[in-house]
Amino acid sequence: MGSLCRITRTVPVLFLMICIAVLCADGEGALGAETVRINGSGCALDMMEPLVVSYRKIRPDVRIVMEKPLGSSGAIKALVAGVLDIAVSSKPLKPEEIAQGASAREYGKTPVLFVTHKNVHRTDISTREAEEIYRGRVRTWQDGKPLRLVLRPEGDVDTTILRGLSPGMDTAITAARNRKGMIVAVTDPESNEMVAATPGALGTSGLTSLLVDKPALNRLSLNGVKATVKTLASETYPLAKDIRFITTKNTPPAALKFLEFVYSAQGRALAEKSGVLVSVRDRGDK
Amino acid sequence: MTSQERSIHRVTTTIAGIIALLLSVLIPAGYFSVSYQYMVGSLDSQAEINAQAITSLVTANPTMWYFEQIRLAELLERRSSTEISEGRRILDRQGSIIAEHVDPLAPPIVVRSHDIYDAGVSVATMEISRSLRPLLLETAGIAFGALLCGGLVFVVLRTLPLRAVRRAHRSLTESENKFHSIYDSMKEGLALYRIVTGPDGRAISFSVIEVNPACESILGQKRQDVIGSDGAELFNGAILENLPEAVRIMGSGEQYTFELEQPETKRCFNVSLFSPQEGLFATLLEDVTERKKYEEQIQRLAYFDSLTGLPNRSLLLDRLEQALARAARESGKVAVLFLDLDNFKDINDTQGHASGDLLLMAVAKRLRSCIRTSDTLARLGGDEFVVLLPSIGEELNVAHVAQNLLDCIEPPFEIHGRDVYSSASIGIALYPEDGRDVETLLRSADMAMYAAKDCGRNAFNFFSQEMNLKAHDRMELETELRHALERKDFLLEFQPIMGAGGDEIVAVEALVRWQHQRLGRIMPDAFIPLAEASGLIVPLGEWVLRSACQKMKAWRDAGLVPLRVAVNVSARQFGQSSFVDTVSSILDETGVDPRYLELELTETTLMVSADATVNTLFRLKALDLSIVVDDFGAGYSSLGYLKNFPIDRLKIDRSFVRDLCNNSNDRAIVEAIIAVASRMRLEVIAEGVETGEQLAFLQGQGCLEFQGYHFHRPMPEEQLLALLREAPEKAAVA
Repeated sequence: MGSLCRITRTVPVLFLMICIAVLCADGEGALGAETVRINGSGCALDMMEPLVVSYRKIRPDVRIVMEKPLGSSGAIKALVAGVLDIAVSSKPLKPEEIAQGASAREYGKTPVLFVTHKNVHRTDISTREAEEIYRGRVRTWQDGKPLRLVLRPEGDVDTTILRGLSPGMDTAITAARNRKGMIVAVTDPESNEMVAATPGALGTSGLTSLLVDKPALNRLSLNGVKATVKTLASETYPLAKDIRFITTKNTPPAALKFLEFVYSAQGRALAEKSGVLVSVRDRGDK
Repeated sequence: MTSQERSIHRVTTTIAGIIALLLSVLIPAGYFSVSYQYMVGSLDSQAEINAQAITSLVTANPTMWYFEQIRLAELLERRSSTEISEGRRILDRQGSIIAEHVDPLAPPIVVRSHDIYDAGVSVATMEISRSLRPLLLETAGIAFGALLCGGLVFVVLRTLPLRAVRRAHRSLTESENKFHSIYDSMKEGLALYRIVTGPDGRAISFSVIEVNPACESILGQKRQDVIGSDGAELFNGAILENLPEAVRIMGSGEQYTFELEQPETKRCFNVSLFSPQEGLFATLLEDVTERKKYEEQIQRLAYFDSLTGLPNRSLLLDRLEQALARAARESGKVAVLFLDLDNFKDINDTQGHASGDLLLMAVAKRLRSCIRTSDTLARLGGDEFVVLLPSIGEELNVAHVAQNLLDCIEPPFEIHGRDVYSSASIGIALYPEDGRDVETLLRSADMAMYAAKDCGRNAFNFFSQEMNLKAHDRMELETELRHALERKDFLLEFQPIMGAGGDEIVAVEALVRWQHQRLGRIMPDAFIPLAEASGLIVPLGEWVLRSACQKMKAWRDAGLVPLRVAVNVSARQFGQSSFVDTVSSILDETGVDPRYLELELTETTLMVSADATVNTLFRLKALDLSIVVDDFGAGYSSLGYLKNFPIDRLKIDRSFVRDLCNNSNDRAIVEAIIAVASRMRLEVIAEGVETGEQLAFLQGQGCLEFQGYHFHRPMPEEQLLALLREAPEKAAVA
C-alpha cells in the first residue's frame, strides 16, 4: 500500500521532468546553435579571439559570445550567477568563489609591458625610471613633452603585477594613485585606447592585446628586455599575468567542449601565437 | 548688602548666566548643526553623482553592468578626498551588495542613498555612509571650548559689572559719607525747602525738608521739629520775603544773596539762596557776625583815629567829598574848620607824650560835644582837627560854631591831676567861595588857621576877608545883644488891633525894640535873626513875655479896661521843653488874667513837630490863654492843623492885605481864609491894613479885627495908654 502510494506520487513528477527536458532539448534544437558565453580579463579575451574563430570552423553550430570584458572578478561573479558559462581570469579564485562552486584550470600566462603613445620616441624603460615616473618625480619625456600616466584600478591585476616589479614600484604606484586628476582605465581595451589616444601617454598592456588587436602603441622593453613569450619563458622578463579558465558544475557541455579545444594542441598553438606562454602541455595536465 | 545691591547682583548673575549658557550651547549646537547639514548635503550630492555615473554604466551595459566589478569599484573608490573615512556601497533591490568600498567606520553612522536607474526603473541603490563620530568629537571639543568661553564670559559679565557696581556703590557711599560729614560739620547752616504751589501753580509758600546741625543751632530748634514745618515762619518770615527771588532763580543756577539779622541772638547772617533742582531751593546761612565786627574794626582802623576815636583824614576826605557833591547838587554851602591847638607842643614837651595824648583825647571829647551829629569832627594827626559842617545855612552861623569850639576848649583840662589850659586857632573855608574841591578847601582852611595864629591865637579866622569882617561885626553885635539882655536895654511898643468897626481898640500886639546905647533904637528886623541864630531869642522872648504881662498887670492895676495883648513867640522859644512852664510861671508871677494874653505863633513854628506842637498848644490852652496863628497864608497853610490844633485866631499875612485891591488872587485867598475861619469858628485878624479900601473889603468879607498903619503905628506905652484913656468905653466893650 505504502509502495503503491509512493509510486503514484513519483510517476507524475518524473513525467513532468521528462516533459521539461524534452521541451528544453526542442528549444535548443529550434535555435539551431549552442551558445557559449565567455567573459573575463580583457587580455585573456583578446587571446580567445583566434581560438573562437578557429573553433567556429570546427563547430559552426556553437555560437560563442564574448561581450565587453567584465574583468576577472566580474566574470567569476557572473559565472557563479549563471550569467556566463566560462570565465577567463587572471586572478586566482577566492575561497568564497570556490565555495560557490567555481573551479579553475590553469592555462598559461602572457607578458605585461609598458606602452606609450606613438609620439613618444622611446623603446625602453628601466624599473628605476618607471618608479620615478609613477612617483611623480618625472612628469615629462626627455624631449620635454608632458608625460601622461594611465593607471589601472587598484583591484586590477595589472596594478598588482606592477606593484610586484620592485618595492619602489609598489610605493610609487600608491603615490600615483593618491595623486589627484590621474587617468584611470578600467579595462585592458580601455587602457590601450586611452594610451593610443593620449599624446605622451604611458600605460601597460598585455602582449596578447597587442598581438591580436594591434593597437597603434609604442611598446617598451623593460630594462632592455623585450616582452615576448620567449623572454617570459626564460624568465628574463619579469611582468606577466596568468590566464586560467573558471567553470562550475553548471557549465554546459558545449562550453566544456570548447574548453577541450582550447586546451588542445591546436588551441595551445593558437594561444602561443597570440603571445601566451601556455603552461599546459597535455590535456588533463595542470 | 542692600536690597538694591542684591537685586543688581541677581539680575547681573542671571544675565551673565543666560549669555554664558547661550554661548556654551549655541556655539557647539550651531557648529554641529551646520557641519551635520554640510555632511549630509555632501553625502547626498556624492550619492547622487555616483548614482548618476552608475546609471550611465547601467545604460551602457544593462545586462552585464552588475558584474563590472573593477569599474564599479573604481567608481566607488574615486573620491574627492580620501582623508574622510566613508563607506560606499551599491546594493541591488534585495539589498545585496553589488560593489563596495568601505573604510572602517565607527558608529554612529550617517547613511545617505540614491537610486540607480535602468531606463527609469530603479535597479539598485547607491549608498554612502560616513561616521558621525569625528563630527561629534569635534563638537565635543568645541563644546568644551564654548563651555570654557561661556564660563569666562560668565565670570567677566558677572564679575566686572558687579565689581563696577560695588566700586560705584563704595564710591557713592564714601561720597555720601563725605557729604554727610561735611554737611553735618559745616559751620554754615544749610536748609533745603520744597516750594508749595497754589491751585494756579504759583508759589505760595515752602516747607522745610532738611536742615543740618548748624542750621538747627541757628534756628534753636531740633531737626525733627523743623522738618515738614512751614518755612514761612523761619527767621520771622525773612526767607518768605525772598520767595519771589527763589522762584526766579529756580533751575537757573543763579544764586541770590541777602543779609539776615537775628535780633534775639544779635547775630548777622549772610544768606545765599540757590536752587539745587526744580521745585527745591536751599539757603546757606553763614554767620558773618564776627566778620562784620572785624570789618567794622578794620574800617575803624582805616577810617578812625585810634587815639581819639574820631574820623581820620581818609574818612574826612570821603565825607567832605560827599558833602561837596551834595552841596553842588542842592546849591548848598559847606564849611571846613581847621583847628590847631595853640600850645600843644609845649604841653607835649613839658609834660610828656602821655599827657599830650590825654589832652588830645579830652579836647576831642569836648569838641565832639559842641557839634551836631550831622557834622564831622576829624583828627588829621598831631594836634590838628577839622570840623566839617555839611549844611550851614547862613555863613555867619559858622562863626558861632567856631566860637563855641574855642569856648569849649577854654576851660582847663585835668591831666594827671593838674589843670592844663589850652586854646586853639581855627581857620574857616567855605564852599563854594573858598574852594570847590576837597584839597583847595582844606588848604584854604589851613591857611586861614595860620592867619588866626598870626592874629594872636585862640581865635577863628575866615579865609575870606569880607567874611571875616562880617563875622566879626556880627559877633560884636551878638555880644552887644547879650549885654543888652543883661542890661535890659529893650523896650516894648504896642500896635493897636481895631474891632470890626475900625474905631475901637480891641487888642494890642507887643513889639520889642532895642534901645542901643550907641546906635539908638534898633528895630526887630535888625537883631531878631541874630538873636534866633545865637539862641538869645529864648531869653529875649521870655523877657518880652514877662514885660508884656507886667504891663498888662500894671494897666489893670491902673484901672484900665482889660485889653488883649498879643506876644510873638519864636520857633526856638516855642521848641523849648520848658516853654509852657515858663509861660505858666510868668502868668503866676505877674498875676495877669490869662484870657487876655495871646501868643502869636507862625505857621512854620507850628509845623516843626506836629505832635509836639499839639501837645504844647493844648498845655498852653489849659492855661486859658489864646493862640493866634501869625502870618497865616505865608507858610504851610495846612488846613489840617486848623482842625487839630487848639487855635483861636488867624492873622492874615500882610502880603495878602497889601495887594488886596490890585490882585484878584490875593482877594480870593483872603476871602477863602475868612470863609474857612468863619466856618471853623475862628476869628480873623487882618494885619497890614493901610487903606480904607482894604478895610472896606475886609469888612465886607466879615473880617472882625484889623491892624495896620491905617489905624495906628506901633507906639510907646505912654501913647497907647493915652489912646486907651481917650476911649475907655469902647475898649472895655471890646
